[in-house]
Amino acid sequence: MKLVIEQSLEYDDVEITIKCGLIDKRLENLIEQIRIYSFSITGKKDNTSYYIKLEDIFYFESIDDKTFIYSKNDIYECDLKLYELEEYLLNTSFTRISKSCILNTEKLKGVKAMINGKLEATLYNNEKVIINRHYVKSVKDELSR
Amino acid sequence: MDKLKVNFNMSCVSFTWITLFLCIINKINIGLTKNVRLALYLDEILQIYIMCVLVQVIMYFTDKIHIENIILINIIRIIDIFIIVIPCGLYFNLFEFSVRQISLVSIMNISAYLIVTFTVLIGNKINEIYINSILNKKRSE
Repeated sequence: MKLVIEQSLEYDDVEITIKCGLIDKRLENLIEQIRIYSFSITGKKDNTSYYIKLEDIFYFESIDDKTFIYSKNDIYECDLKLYELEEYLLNTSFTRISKSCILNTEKLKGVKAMINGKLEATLYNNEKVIINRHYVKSVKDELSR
Repeated sequence: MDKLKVNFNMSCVSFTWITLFLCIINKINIGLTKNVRLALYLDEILQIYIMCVLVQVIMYFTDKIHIENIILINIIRIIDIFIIVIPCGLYFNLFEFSVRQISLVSIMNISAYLIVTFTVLIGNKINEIYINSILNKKRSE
């Protein structure tokens, strides 16, 4: 694979072009990483808006019709609904784990089986979220993609 | 060990299916169930199956109640079983309303719940092992 980087003060924005024959598994992973790197979402905290990089987001949760963004240490409010985020985050490492939560599988440290068929997911910030049994298959599919 | 868990699950499913299959064959009476003693119990097996399905239906609705406490969840699920099994069992004449028989049915209900819960846990444990193995593989890459 050839890597060409053109650095110049003429460019205002970063542009990535991939020229390839077929998209194989490794390239697919690379594209996914670029997508995550290049997207950001606006979150509000204490009446201030912040651009949050997708790679910094651990999960999204919907509580009482409001959507919240959870990063390593902070919580932001988001204007988008979970179903809108789900569409927006298609083909990234984000996947729905319950009716009210979308998880970034890149932040998943491990899972533990629970007695009621659900899985308890531990994230890299040691926070725990629940994977509903109906979404276990989609998590498995996302991870083995 | 994983293979053993899968086999155990498969044996549970195959037992359920064979029992149901025999019930259906007996009901439509095409003369395949020659074992009279088995045929005698097929109605009861079918009634027990109906009760199991009804328990799952009621559990489906009570599971929608948002409860985090695992002990409370299990208590509610056991109550679900009793709500279905006691009236239906009496209706189907599977047992009588006496202290001795109700006690016996209660032991049966709770033991069945524990076995099913254990089976679910086995299935869930397989998912846990699978997901953690992928995560470990990704980390080592």
